[in-house]
Amino acid sequence: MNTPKYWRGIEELEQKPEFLATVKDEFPTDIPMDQQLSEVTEEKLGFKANRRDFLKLMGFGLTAATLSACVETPKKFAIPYVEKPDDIIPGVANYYATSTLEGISVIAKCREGRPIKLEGNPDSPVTQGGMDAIGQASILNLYDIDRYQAPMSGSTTAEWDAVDSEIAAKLKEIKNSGGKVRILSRSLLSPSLRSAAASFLAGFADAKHVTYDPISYSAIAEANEKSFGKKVIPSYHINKAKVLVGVGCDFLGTWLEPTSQSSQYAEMRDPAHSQMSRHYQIESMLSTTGSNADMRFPVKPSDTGKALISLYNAVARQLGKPTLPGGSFSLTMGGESMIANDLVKAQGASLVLCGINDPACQTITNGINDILGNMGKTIDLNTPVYYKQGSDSDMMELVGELNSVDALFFLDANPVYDTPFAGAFESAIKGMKLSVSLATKPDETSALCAYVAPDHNFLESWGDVMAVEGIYSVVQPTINPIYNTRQAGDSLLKWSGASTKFADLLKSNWQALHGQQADGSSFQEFWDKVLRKGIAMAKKAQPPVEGEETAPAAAATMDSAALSAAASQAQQTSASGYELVLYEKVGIRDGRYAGNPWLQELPDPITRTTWDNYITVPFQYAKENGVKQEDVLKLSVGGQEIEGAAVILPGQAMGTFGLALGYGRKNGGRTTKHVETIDAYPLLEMRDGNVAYSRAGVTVDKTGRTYPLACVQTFHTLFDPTKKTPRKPEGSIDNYFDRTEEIISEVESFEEYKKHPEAVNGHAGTALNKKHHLITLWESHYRDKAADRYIRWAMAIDLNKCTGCGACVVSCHAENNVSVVGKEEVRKRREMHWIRIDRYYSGAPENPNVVFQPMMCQHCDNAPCETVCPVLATIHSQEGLNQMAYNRCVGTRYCANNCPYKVRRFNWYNYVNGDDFQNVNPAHETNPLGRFVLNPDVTVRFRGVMEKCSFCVQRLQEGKLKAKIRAGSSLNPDGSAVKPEDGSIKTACQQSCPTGAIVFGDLNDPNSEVHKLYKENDRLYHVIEEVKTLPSVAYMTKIRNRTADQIKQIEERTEEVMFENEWLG
Amino acid sequence: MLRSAHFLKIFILTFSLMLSWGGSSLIAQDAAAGQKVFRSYCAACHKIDRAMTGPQLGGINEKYAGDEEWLYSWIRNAPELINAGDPKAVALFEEWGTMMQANPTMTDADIDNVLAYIQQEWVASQTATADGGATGAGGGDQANPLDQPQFYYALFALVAVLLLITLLLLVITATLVSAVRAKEEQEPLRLSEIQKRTWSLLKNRFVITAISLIVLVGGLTKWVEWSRGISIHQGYMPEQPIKYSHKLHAGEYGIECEYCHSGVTKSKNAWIPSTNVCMNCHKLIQEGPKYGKEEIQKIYDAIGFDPAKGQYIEGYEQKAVEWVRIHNLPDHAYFNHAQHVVVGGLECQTCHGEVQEMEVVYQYSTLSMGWCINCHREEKVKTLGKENPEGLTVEDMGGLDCARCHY
Repeated sequence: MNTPKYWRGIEELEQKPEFLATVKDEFPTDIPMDQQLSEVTEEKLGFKANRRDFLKLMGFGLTAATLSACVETPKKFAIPYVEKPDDIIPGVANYYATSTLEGISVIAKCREGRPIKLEGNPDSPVTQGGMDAIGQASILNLYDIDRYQAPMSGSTTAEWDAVDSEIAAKLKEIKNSGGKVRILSRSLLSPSLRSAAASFLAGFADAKHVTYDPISYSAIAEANEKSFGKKVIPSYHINKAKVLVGVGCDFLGTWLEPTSQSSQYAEMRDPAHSQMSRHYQIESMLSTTGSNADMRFPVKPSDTGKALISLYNAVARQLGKPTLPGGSFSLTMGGESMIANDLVKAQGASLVLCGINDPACQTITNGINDILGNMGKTIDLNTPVYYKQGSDSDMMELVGELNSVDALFFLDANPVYDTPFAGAFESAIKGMKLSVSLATKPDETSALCAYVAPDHNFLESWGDVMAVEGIYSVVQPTINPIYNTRQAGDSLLKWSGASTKFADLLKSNWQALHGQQADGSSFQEFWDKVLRKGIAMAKKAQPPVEGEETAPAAAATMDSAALSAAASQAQQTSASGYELVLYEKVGIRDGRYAGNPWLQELPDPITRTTWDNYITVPFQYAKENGVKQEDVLKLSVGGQEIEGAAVILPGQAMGTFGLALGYGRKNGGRTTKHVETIDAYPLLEMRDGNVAYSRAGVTVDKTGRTYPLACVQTFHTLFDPTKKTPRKPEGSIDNYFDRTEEIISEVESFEEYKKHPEAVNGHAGTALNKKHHLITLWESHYRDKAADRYIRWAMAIDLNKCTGCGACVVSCHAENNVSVVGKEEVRKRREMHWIRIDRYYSGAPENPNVVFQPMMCQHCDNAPCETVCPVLATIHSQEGLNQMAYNRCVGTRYCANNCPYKVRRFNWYNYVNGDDFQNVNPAHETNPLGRFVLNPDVTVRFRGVMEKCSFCVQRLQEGKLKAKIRAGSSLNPDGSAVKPEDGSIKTACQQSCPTGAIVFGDLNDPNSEVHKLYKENDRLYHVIEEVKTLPSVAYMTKIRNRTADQIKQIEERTEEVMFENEWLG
Repeated sequence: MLRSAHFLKIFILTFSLMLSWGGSSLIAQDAAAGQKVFRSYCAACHKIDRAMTGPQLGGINEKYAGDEEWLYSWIRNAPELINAGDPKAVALFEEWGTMMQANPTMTDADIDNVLAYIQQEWVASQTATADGGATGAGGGDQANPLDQPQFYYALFALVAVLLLITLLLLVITATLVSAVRAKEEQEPLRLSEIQKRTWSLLKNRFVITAISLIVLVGGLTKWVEWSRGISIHQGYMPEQPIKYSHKLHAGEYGIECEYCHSGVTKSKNAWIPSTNVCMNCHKLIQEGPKYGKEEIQKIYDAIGFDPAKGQYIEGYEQKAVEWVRIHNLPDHAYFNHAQHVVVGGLECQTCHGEVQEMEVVYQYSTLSMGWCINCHREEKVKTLGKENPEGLTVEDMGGLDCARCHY
């Protein structure tokens, strides 16, 4: 048996005949004609169709259709404004700077007064213009038809006045009796909202604002308090770390604020620089971060603390510092000394990040960073971040006193769903004097509350964000409130009896910030600038003025007593049996946005599964116990039992299982009803006062049933796995090749690459000079010299920078009106994404190497799809685009069959009016609000037509037009074509990419970035170039930073596993 | 032909008149630039040859000769002069009852130009009147013959004559045949025989095939032609909620299209003007020449304006005017006005026809894809308003690519 070097699922590795049979065809399901016309159907319908009936029906149908077509053409109206607002130009977008709830500064694109797309704010010093998948999808929450439309009193809608007076009366009563008032919120990034909450609470004798986070980061602040006396989460400077160690910390996918962390990470991973960071990851699940790491060590959760001690000791030994007790645990391949060697070499320029919510682990991490001299260099305790302010101890305290609380306000909080204390809250709320939810949308908690005072969506609100100390970003409304809602800040101010509006409070809070600006502007000027730019900096966050003295950051000193206490605690952790890891997924995260169909349909970067929660199973366990993908497993832990389908996850630590949080919402809106799946929050437990995201003592049984999952990992195969092309034997010059090596190009050693950059691939420099076939039927598909003066669009994607985060997929979804099709259709390989991120594994399945490859229409110059279209619906444009004219398409699907990249998507149904898509597709005609998100410049495709990536042609056209209008002509006086400036047009995927992996531009412009890459970059190659499609999308080889020794060890282990499993011939 | 001769005459007259004025400063002014200024600032209330809301402007140069300074400040800021109690200004205000709005953005050069334009037009109209209307009846010379009823009378007469000839020939043939038969002593020709012969001729297989073929081919051609016209609404002229006349506003008053359809240079949409744009003029002009107050009242009903008091009604619930959309492109076709007007330098009339002559606007062009494509094939791309030296057409620049309009 021969297997490809790269594989996307165990199926491709094992090459079982039944699997191979399913991937043979582009479209797996036949049109069920036989079934429709069978005698069985006739029997079911109760009549037998004969020729005469058929003719009668046909005749009737034809006549009816003809008659119904004879109506007068319906009148259309053109209704202008009565008084047109000055700043709205119908047909031209407006842009407003604002910020998401996650604290990402964004630019909202509004058409005719409604926001349709969010993009990262390039002026933000934090995110540098990047966005993540949930940020991109958050615009859809504005148009969520399930939102509260008016205040609620119990389960009936009420008027604001009535609700306000009832709440005020009850508050007065509580105040007079000296009762307990509590506000429970998630981390509030808005200083103004926090001050509004404080001023509300100030009126009561016993009042407190409790902050929690569904995914708690409480241990980091606690450990920092113990170690350094500062209860904060510091700023991490990943872009200054030459050696980076992540411990159970998915900082590129879900941990803390992945957007800014990804962009910092990418800065250090550019092979064009003289140095590239080395990234080690120690984790239980295979996360996006782990899959980008140079070396990865799968470790059980109970061993993580011990691994940290071993790492500390290895570093301490090299530095001649005292070691900690314990440390007998050892990583595979002598990992701790390998890591320690590199860390010690990069003292002060290394960083160890730990994502375990356990103060002991965090303290040891602090210890490692401290002895390496990283404090104050890659970790800045003086510039804390406020993404997560939750405190587990505060939360525990609240839970303890719940029954004595008189009034509880839920401000952006849903503890009945997303904490382990659902039961406590549920019973306490029912008996409480006053319970008010300020949710925007019904959730598990608000359903129980006596009153709901619905908050605006963030796109309707005023507000501010300070996510990083000193860096402020504004929140301004981009649309009039859609429903009868009121901003949470206003509600709190109203109930506290203040007459000020929240917007005024906000402005007065910003007066202080204005005082710190050195430009001498008036407050109005400053405020106008802030609204335009979206960002303002406090004095200490501003770049220092030259000559001005800045006080050196006080070096924090580590408390050694705390360290040894932590070590002994971590050493004690022991676990028997299997362990369960409770983790976040990149799309769904903590479940707050589980009702967002874009996020549900976004395939998980690693498991490539949509819509469902499932139990991830290590490869080895699956093999030994005969567990197959989709087998239902029964998982028991501490008396709780859950059942879920198995997904075999290569790279998952042996002895562990994984289950995602954020699913199984009971009251999360119509989208969550589409697929009912497992809620993992009840499995969380408190360990030493902190929420623990793992459980030990797990038993697993097979149930013998299966459950269908919509997993896209083996769909859209670029290579033909049935061909069994053998891998090229060493030293052979025969034309043996493994097709997967024509798809993925990678180099394992950065040093080798730097020594011999030309050896990366044979494609260097050829991208610009595409060679033609000697004989061809389709001359016009090649580059036309006369067209050289015009634009030729091209794209280059850096595999080294792509972390697989999926922001581009959602961004494309929003920009191009891509339909959401739901689980059943995804299962039939009918998902509609124009861009997908293929995830390839290689090496041993117990700990594989991973490469992410964004794949979209390659806009081939010699496009196989174009030659087979019988109606010329897909043809080439002068600018090198592979155009798709929907109105011409008759749906033969020949093009999709002939596409070697498998990027064409067929509209099997009319997704905007099919009954099955009512709850999943926001653009469904029964959803009057969801349709608002559609981009008016892009057609919504109908049933029966093919669609695919257009390179965001609407943006290209808009950008070109802007340049031409500026020039007043399409030709310059010298006869050259007027072209948009390089970089002024960004495709949606490019714009949202937090790492800048995608470069797009005009290949005919010698000064464009993409031209330079095509001309000079030696990592450039085209996917399956040998089929001679001459694509306009190029990829850049992935370069890993491994030492020769590491490469050797990995290779040996791979070989071993391959022989063990008889995968090598 | 007649029309251009008329223009030529005016031109020569104007030119010689101007020459005869010799030292007049007006010669240096740009009457063409003045026309633009006139249309954007003055045309809403003034005409050159007669009085409208404001007095007639023709002859203004002579009237205020030597008093230019006052005239300039009056044009620039009439309200100020009136309020300051300037006797001439107050007299004018009392005479006309309305106050001319201030035009502070007008430069001296603008006023020079507009005065030059007024002078030019005034002289031309005087000359034309002096010519005695001899040229006045020259219009309509290029009308389509198919539109003339005479054409159909002639056609009818022709058909009648041909029928008569056929009948005559038949009679002659019958007479001759009868004569020959009589000579050869055969049976005389009877009506039944003629009928029989005609019948056998009609039953001839060749004739049947030929007739069927003609009917089939003709029918098919007609059917194809007809079906190609489906969803083409050329000539569509729906009734609008307000009997707004482009002929009056754009034609007679010469208001630039862009004044109301201001989106045309910025956006894909040209925009139907919002009601507040109407109010720029109709706050003062409360009565129209044709429908009186009735139609203008509809604007006031929409925006909430009390013409009697001359002020907006507080707290009025505004209702948008629901214009019937005439030009409907299908959803899958993207069209951008700014592209064609600013970059392409096209006149509105190229696609919309002579709107300034339409009492009720109708769809002038087919708006079919073939019509778009034809223009893209033929239209030469302009380089800053001039034709490009290479003669590049829109097609040469990729203007026929699907994804230029369909995405």
